[in-house]
Amino acid sequence: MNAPTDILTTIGMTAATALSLGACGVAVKRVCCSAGWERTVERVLVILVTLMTAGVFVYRMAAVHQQWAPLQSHVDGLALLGAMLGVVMVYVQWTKRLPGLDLFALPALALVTLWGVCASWWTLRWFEVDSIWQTAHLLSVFTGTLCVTVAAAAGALWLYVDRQLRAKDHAPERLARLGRLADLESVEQAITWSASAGFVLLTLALATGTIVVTGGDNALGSGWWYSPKVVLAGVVWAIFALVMHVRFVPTFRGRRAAVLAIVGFVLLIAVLGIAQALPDAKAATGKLEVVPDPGRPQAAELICT
Amino acid sequence: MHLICVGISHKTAPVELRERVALNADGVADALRELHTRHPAAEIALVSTCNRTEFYTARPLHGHPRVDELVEFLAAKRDVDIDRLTEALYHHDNDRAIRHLMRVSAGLESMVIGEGQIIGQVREAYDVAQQVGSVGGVLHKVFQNALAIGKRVRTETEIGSGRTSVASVAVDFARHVFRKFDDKTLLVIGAGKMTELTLRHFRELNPQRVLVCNRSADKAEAIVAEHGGEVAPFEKLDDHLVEADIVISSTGSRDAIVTADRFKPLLKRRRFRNLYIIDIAVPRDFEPAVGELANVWLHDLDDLQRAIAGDAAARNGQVGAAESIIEPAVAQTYESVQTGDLNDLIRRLRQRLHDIGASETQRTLGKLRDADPDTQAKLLDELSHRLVNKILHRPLSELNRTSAMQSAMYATALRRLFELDALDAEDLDTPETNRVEDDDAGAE
Repeated sequence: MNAPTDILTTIGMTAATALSLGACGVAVKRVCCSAGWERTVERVLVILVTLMTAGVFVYRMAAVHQQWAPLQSHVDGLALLGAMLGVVMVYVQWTKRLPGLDLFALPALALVTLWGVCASWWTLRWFEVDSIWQTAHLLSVFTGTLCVTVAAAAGALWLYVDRQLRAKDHAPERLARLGRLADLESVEQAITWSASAGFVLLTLALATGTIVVTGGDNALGSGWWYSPKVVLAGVVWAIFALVMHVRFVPTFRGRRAAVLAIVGFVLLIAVLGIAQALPDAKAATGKLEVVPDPGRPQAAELICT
Repeated sequence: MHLICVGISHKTAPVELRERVALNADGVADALRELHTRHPAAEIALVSTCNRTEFYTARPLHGHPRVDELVEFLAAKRDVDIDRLTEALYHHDNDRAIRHLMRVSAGLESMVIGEGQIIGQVREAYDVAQQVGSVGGVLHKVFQNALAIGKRVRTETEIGSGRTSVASVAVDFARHVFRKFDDKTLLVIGAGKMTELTLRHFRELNPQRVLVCNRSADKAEAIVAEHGGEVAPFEKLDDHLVEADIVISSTGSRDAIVTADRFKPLLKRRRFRNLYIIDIAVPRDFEPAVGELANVWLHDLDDLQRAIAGDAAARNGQVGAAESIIEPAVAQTYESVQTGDLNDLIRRLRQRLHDIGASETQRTLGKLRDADPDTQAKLLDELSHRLVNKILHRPLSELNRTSAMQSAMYATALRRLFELDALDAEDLDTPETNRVEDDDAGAE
């Protein structure tokens, strides 16, 4: 059922990465010096990335895993995350609610798809989805990551707009640029909403993750609660709890909320990276092993035994 | 008459210096009164706005006030370092001074080319000078022509098109801070014309509340009557700042009314809500450090004017058309001013000579009553001598005091005015006409 690396997956994610990077470039050009064609090209590129990542996700379920159970591997999760982020971008572009968000969310999309390329070819890792808790955990992790990414992009946008407003040389170009960005009130609201949703999903991820690591033979060991993955996940959760409550904690409004949203995103990426790098429950119990790929001497892949 | 324009502007002086030097209407009137008392022969007007403070004077050549006297006066009046003021200073003479005033009036010298407020400010400066009585025929003509040209430039060119007002830019910036305004409180501090203009723009956003806070409640009530809102007591400014989401401030205060130290404690009371401050006062009402606080965005007049300078690019194309209207008017006004001045001089000369004639005639008539015919002839001869001597006494005294260079100039003028060389050629002159002794000068 679990197949080795799949060339079509890698090609799909590589194309999505290229399209995402193209969309990034067009977004920068559109914000810096608007012209009629950039908006259309950017929309087309974002739609293509969304379709490409969604296609990879569906393809892997249908052709690679040959079953309708989602999230069998890390690259599945990244493809899903890329598709969801793409949908959010299309929505934002369509409704024009947060102009300029794409400027910061598209690099994150490119990062996700690039990570997907690595995860599909060099660091392919299979998930052992053997319970509803594991599925719930993975789904909440990836949707939570989506919310955190949007919050971080909104945070970066807030800081950028703030910087433009505070600049003393109000050159025509700067004013024109400012005119293509969302207002601070809307951006702050977007940070709060996405951080709130991220907080709920990360809480769910922590809860289900705790059940997974403490139940049966999936334990990380007796010291699971102070493993880097769990500690960092707790820190990310705490940060998002803080950001979510900015509306009730006035001290953490505006700049601080924006910075915290970005810090939360960086920490979450660190958690995901550590989760990827560290041996998980299966490896700890000897159910996973690293198998060198003779075709690619420097690469190794983890497969389920 | 010699025309002088001397002053500083946004092109030569930073806002810190401009706000130190700037005078309000009362200050302008006081300054003009003082200068007019010192130099009654000169005509003086003073244009003082947030972007420029300029003296316009018309005085006899080599008369007073000189440029350095005006600079010293301004430095002393506004307690500014004279060296710093001199560094930022420019001055124009005669037709250049007229051209400068016309360009100012047309908005060509404004930070935002073509902006419309300056013409009203020039008119106001002229009105104040008229009320004080420091302007005469020359500056009347210069200012009236400059105002007419300013209006004509705006009518006949598109120099005033596009976004030219500070208020419209302030609204644009507010839209980048807030998404909606129907739940926002707008606080207006001060009740000047700029405040009113900016408030008019912000009213279009339909803010939930408008608070008008001014030291003089009467002026605040007048604004509320026209634009709606509530009068807010000035003594409770801190409370109003806590309530406000947008602040428009333009008071005539000499010092900042809201310092960073005063505002910091209010941040917590405001629960760190976003606050956008438009400080269009000169001198500024809010310390710049207030704008560096969390969730506070502060734009002063310079910021806003720099922002709209961008639209100037489109209007720059109209500068040539504006200048083609101004240039003929400069020449016409300068000629008219100098001709008018000469006519006035001639009128005054004629009047003075008639006065001398009338006085001497009265004196001679008394002597003629009981005089015999021989005495009458002698008296008439004396009369003509006295008249000539009295008329020539002062000019000749002045001629005797002149330097060699001035003597040459006066000699040329005398030859030309009295056709003395022509008379020599016709051998009609006499030693008496060439050299008149002021033997009867004591009579004056």
